[in-house]
Amino acid sequence: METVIRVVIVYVFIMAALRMMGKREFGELAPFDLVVLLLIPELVTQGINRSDQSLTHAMVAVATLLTLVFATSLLSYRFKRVENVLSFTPAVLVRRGSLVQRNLDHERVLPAEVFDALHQAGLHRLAQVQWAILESDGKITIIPAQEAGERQTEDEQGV
Amino acid sequence: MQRNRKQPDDGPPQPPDVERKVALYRHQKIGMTLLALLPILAFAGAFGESRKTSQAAGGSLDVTVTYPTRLRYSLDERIEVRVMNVGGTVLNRVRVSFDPDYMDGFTSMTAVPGFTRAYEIPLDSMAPGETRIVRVDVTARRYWKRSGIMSVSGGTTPLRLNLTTLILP
Repeated sequence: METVIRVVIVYVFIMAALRMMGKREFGELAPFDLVVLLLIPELVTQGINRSDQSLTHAMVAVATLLTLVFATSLLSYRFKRVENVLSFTPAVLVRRGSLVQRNLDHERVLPAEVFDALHQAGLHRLAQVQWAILESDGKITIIPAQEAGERQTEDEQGV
Repeated sequence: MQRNRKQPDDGPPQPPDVERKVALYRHQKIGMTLLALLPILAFAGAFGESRKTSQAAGGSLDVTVTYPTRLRYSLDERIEVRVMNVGGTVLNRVRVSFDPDYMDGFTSMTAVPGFTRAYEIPLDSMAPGETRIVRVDVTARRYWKRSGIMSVSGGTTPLRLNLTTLILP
């Protein structure tokens, strides 16, 4: 049935498009991101539905989408290669008090955004940071220098 | 066996790699199988539109009707009736009529030639060997099975064809 093919095409297309946009887009919704996320359904609705308003069509479309989501989740968990293709790798933004400019450029993260995360962690200088990591969900995690040192010691002691 | 993954960008320690096995709960197995069945059935054509052609002949008339046997709510379809005078004389007052019970399943009906009375289309006189085509465009409106008789009168005995259409919600 054509509905199945249309949902598969749209799902793969959106997955690929979102994957290419990068994880930064998912951390916080800026006005631009919100516009994009609101527009995508509007644009694909006609592509999937055509003029079919039937419940059968809707049920098949939803079932196709959920099956794809579940299958993606299973494959991503089972096979590392699939996971690598579908999910993002965390990026180090600050390493031992220094900004990693290459990663900031790749992930389009401004130093001000790193400092926002610093402030939220109760820090105010880069020197206080051991690691700042852009996680796969787009959020920035701060690991303070002292805390990282303590944890390293704990690891070494086998705690 | 667990081993640490390579640290990207000389970052903090990474979580260990573990052997990954897919494990589903019983309700997930049942639910996802049922859910996956819908697109599979749809792909196999279980919910798609289908048409059928029926033919009847008697007296001086030969009638063929092509109509939808399965379609989904709000979709447009066409019923096409081909009437042929196979006799040697002119047939007067040939009429194609549909059972209201059957036609009640549809809406937005337009017929060429047009309806004169409820679900009745006059073809007037037909010369020997002449063929007329009636087209009725319909939009599916009422769910489930719709059955009724389509009859063509004008010959010695009216020809009757049973039409059945399943309208999926």
